[in-house]
Amino acid sequence: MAEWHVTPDYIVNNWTDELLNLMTEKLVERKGKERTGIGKHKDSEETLFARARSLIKVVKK
Amino acid sequence: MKERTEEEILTRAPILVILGGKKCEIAPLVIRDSRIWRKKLISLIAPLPVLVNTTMDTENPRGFVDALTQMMVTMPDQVLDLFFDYAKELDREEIEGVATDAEIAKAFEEVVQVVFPLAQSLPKVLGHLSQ
Repeated sequence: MAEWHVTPDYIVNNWTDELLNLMTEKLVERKGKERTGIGKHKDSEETLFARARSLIKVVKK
Repeated sequence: MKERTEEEILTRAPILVILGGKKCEIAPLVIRDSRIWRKKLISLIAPLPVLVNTTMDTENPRGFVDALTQMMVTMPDQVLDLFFDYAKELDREEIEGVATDAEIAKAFEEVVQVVFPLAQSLPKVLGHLSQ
């Protein structure tokens, strides 16, 4: 429920069975992708730092 | 039977059925209401195995007749009651006058598909989890 930011009560009173089912399917799918995604793109610390460096903007005052 | 698209599910699109040759729409129930309906359906079909066994019992002709009557006469009426209990917005009197049993059976199947979506997707979900 926290994943969808809705209360159980809201789901029971507003969602249909097939909507809950679809949302659960998509959640499982997403979690699966997240899990396998982390494994595939495992970078070394150096690469991560290099990537992070390019994202940080240093502003001199 | 056509599987409902993700768009239809997300928008809670009505279940489309044909009764008496005409297209009719049935609004899918929310979980709270469909839970009650599901219980009614289960209590209707739960005695089926017993009835089937009774019809195969050649030693008990009275039981055979009772079970057969229950399955062929009473149960279809109960299925009809259950169908219109779900599709409250349909005009039962009008539809009973024009729809065939085959149409009702097909429409009932469509409703059951919406009420028991887990039956179709459980293998898919378990497949993802086991990866």
